Amino acid sequence: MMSLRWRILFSLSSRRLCRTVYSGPDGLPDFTREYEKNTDTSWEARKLKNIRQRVIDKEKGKKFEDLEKIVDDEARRIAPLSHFIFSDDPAVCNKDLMLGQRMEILGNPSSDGKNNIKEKYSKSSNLDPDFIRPEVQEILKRIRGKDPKIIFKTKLERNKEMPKIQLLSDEQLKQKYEEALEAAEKFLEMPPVMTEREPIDEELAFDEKLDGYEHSSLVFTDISEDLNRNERFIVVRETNGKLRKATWEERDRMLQIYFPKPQRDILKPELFDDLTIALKKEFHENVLQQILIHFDPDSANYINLTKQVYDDIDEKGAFELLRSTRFFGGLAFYLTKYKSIDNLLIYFLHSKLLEEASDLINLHYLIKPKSEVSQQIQDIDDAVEKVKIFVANDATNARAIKLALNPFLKSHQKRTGKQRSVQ
Amino acid sequence: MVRLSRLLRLRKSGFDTPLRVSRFRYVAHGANSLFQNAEVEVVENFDGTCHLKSGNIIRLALDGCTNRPFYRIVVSKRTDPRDCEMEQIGTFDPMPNMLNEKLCSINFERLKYHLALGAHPVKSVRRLIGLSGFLPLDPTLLIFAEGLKRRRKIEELISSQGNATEDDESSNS
Repeated sequence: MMSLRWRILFSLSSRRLCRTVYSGPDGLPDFTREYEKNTDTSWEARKLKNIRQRVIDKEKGKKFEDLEKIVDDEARRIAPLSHFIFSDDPAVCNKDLMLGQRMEILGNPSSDGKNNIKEKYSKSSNLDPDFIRPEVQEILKRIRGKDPKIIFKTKLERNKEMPKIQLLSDEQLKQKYEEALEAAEKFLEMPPVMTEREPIDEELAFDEKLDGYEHSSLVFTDISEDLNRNERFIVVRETNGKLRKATWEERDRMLQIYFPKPQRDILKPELFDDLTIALKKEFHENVLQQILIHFDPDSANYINLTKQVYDDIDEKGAFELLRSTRFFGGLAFYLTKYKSIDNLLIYFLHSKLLEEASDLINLHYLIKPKSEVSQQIQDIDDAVEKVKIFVANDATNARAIKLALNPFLKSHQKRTGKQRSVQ
Repeated sequence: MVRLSRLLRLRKSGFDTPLRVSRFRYVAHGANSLFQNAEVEVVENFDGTCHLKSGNIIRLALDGCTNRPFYRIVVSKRTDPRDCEMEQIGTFDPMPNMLNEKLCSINFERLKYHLALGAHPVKSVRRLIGLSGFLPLDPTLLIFAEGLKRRRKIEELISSQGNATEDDESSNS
């Protein structure tokens, strides 16, 4: 029992300690459970009630307007992707670097014309066979565009080096400009297009005697160094007593815990639950960067999410957003293989890029060849006639393409001197 | 007069220890030449069998905060304090996470090295290695698990009998 003097001193000191933040008329919180009664209409009681109601609603799955703000902030995040995604040394790709080391994989330019993609990637068996072909790769690089304003635009990053000032003549300036454009190809390195990886479903042992020994499952990972990322043993012992290999999702999580990749989260952001919120505001490039960072290009999540983004762009016709970025090749490849090229063609014709249109049609007949038509197209060089053949054979939206073709036909008529009606 | 510490030690371990796991790594006769490491000693018993003599132990060192344990799998000597180490081989998290998993990581390369040179893993580490599938299951684990099952069956029987008697009483009354 405390004496009177001690009680007074204690109460004074405790009030002083508690009243650090002014949160209303009384600094101390309300420890009596009067808030449960509905008679209390003070602002504190209403606040507590609101908070409790929000928690209950969120568990039931109700969506609030605040989610849009959170998703918006996540979409605006400019993910500082390293400019060189994949290095040329396969040893650097496959090794797992320990915590604390910097993961900036700077790749040296591939001399000797080593453009073989299979040597770059460790998971070369899952690569799409149509994507690997060198003819397809050349076409995709040509379609992409190379606007230096978009490639070298300033991002919200601190410069690691001070800017250099040099005195140059006009010729030297031109030289530097061209060298910079050549170096810009590293900024435009295409992420690979892969087929979905097969699920793991292997059982190593089953011990019935361990049934009920543990209430939770155990996950074991192998931490030995100098091992390929795909060759590590990650094993799960369940409460049944069953020993099995871990699924791909569990594998990704464990490898991120013990051998992390930069800027990748273990609990994925809320962006990916509902992409439509972010895509309304035209953050397609940022979203694609974040998908690349968080998921492997093998996984089902990556393929589904990129599908959503590409479909959205296709519907809106907003191909400018990805023009002269590294994601345009994947867009074009997806549309030719799994969907129709029509909207892309219309975009090229509206913006008067005839070479790219002809390249697109060549791409289409490389991936989906037809014996009669592909020979015709190889002989012809004129873009307008290629488009006409394509419209006759394989187009789904023929009317819109013909409308876009009209201005080119009139100029064609003026040169030849004939007048023809548009069919 | 017996020392107090000896009595306490016996009381902890049990006066009758029916199961005792071998502490030593038995080795063939004349195996001195195989080991290039100078710290390794091969000791001959009176039987004529040989075993490796090393004071290394693989055990769990405790880290973390109050009400939040976290173990590191560690190679050390028996006389060292609990948290000192010669080398760390892995980790173990005894608290399950959001998905009801307990995470354990082991560097199997270094494990093999130390086991081959005569390190003795403690009961808890032995159980983890057995559960991971690297080595066969520890017999202490199986005996404990069987005992658990028997106890639970007995509890179920008691509770079912209790329910049966209650039903009979309710139906009769």
